[in-house]
Amino acid sequence: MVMDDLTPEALREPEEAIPTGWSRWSEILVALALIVIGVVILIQTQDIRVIRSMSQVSPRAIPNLVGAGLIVLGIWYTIDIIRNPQVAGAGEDAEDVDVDAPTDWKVLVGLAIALGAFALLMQPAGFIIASGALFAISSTTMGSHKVLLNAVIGIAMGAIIYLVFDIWLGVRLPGGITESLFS
Amino acid sequence: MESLSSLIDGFSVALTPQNLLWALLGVFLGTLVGVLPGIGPALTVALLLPVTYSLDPIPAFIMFAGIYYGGMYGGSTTSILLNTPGESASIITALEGNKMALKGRGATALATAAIGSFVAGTLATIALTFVAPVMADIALKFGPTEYVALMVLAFTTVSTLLGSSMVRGLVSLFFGLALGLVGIDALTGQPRFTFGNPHLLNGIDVVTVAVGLFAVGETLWVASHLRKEKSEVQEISGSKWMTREDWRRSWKPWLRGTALGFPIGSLPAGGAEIPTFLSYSIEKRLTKHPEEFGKGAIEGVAGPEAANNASAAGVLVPLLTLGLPTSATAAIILAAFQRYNLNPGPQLFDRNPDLVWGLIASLYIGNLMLLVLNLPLVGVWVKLLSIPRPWLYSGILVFAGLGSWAQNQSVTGLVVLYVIGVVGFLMRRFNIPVGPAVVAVILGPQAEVQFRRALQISQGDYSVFVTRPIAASIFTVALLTLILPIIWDLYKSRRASTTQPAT
Repeated sequence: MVMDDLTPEALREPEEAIPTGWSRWSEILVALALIVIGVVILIQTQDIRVIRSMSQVSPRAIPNLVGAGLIVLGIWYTIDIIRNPQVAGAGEDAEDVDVDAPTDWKVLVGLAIALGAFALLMQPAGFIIASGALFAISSTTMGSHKVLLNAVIGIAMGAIIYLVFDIWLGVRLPGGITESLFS
Repeated sequence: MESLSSLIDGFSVALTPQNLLWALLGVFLGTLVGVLPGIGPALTVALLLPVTYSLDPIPAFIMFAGIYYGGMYGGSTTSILLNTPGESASIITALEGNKMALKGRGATALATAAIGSFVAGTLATIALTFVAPVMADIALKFGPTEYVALMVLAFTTVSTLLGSSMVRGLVSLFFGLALGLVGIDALTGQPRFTFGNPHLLNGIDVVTVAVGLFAVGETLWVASHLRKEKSEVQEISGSKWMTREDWRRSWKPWLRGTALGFPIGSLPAGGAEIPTFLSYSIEKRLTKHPEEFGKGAIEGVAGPEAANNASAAGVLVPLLTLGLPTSATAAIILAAFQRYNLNPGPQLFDRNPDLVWGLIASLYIGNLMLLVLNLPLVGVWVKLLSIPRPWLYSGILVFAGLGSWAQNQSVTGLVVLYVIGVVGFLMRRFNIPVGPAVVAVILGPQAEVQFRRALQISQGDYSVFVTRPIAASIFTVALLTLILPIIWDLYKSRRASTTQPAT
């Protein structure tokens, strides 16, 4: 509002088409999710115990406010989506991003697998192997097809981070099966 | 004057050989990470936070100061060479700076940005040196009601003054507030919204939120829309120095940028975007070479860069004197303070003067180091920009995992990180600003504590928020920031319907 002609949206070329269909309406799901979260918060708040003798404002007050606020915002947001169509991702135009391209779902699935592998491998196999797996799967998914090289870089990166942060700086990282190499 | 003698004490802290080394390391790492495309200052600071974990407070914060300023230098290098705004305040630098690089004047653009940043950073830090103690004195009179008012003001300004959609800013804010609800209630000690999971008892920390929204969310977004052609990194050509003409055209924008950046940065006004945009508009209006704007006008780099750095120092004023973060980056710095059980505010100036003044002194030192370091090291940074994107973003994900584990030591923490990452992806898809959520996560719980404390003191009397003059006036300003944009929009749409739009 204050600097409308200098917002990222305005600085883009004006030929961006207003989207229709799924692109246009998928945002409503977010608005609806807000309302759902607001309701969940309000319900959960009722489980919070209020001890009569304590401070004047109960521990339920702010959660109730936030929950109610989310519901109100969800409704306002829905109205705004209906009245003001937007170009997707307009504010995030950057050299690496091609906003007009459709979302590459395969990459997202690949990244989900990579992140999941990291979380699952951390404690049993240790940070180094988990990082190696994350890096390898993620790089391959994003377009670097040299899987072996990716794995090597990932493990090397994990090892260096482990050395610097765990051994030198004392930030505890799980050693897993690699721990014996360093003890 | 008291400020000067405190500052001199601060220098004696900052100028020890070890602390100088920490400052150098901070500056180097900050620039390194700040240069990487897709990583803005908030994320730079969040990702490098674990490096300071094992240090004592003073060296940790000295290094932090270096990371903070270094991250901004790095960001401007990237915007000039790559047209990739790591964050929105760099967009303006990219506008003119990248055009200059395309015309073969990249080195000059970098020089004017670096020198302008140094000038602005130094002047702004001087201003900080004198303003901070004054503010801290004023803040001594602040009670919980005033703090609540200030936090509400921070919430409203960070949600409404950026981007073009107030509702989305508020959506982001309330999302952050909801995240802030998780954890143990400060005043009654009972767990809230932890769903029985012991790992959630400590709540969801701001670093996880920042790293999730910025690192993971950004990676998910970029990966799913990756541009297939390699982006062009501009070669550094042309002489590294500025001609007399360049100096002549730059020095006033540097000063004007500083004058804009520091005051606006120190207000709860949502960070660095406003002063840089304003600086650009002003330079465009004042220039003697208007035809160059849009094609590589040096004033368009000098002014906004100075404004950006000055506002970085300005942001430290409310942060150090009131404990009030006004940008996502400031929120993370506040989290860093809290890790050491330090609470920025007037007490900090009293109880830990060597920490505060050591920090301020090392801002000067860091600034100087950056100028000396960056002009020769530009070649190295340019090589960094050519990192293959799959490796860059995968590396970011590994560091994100590191950041989460260092903070939470649990798989639950990673899951929370990922979920927030997905939210970050959605936010980018739907143009929902990320900043308000980060500020809300750290300020929301504090605002609640202060609110309940205020009512405890007033014995349940809500009118205290409107009867105490300082609090009341701050609330009024907050209300205005919410209402004025709505009125403005109504006014504009009414005008548009009565006049033919000229396309």
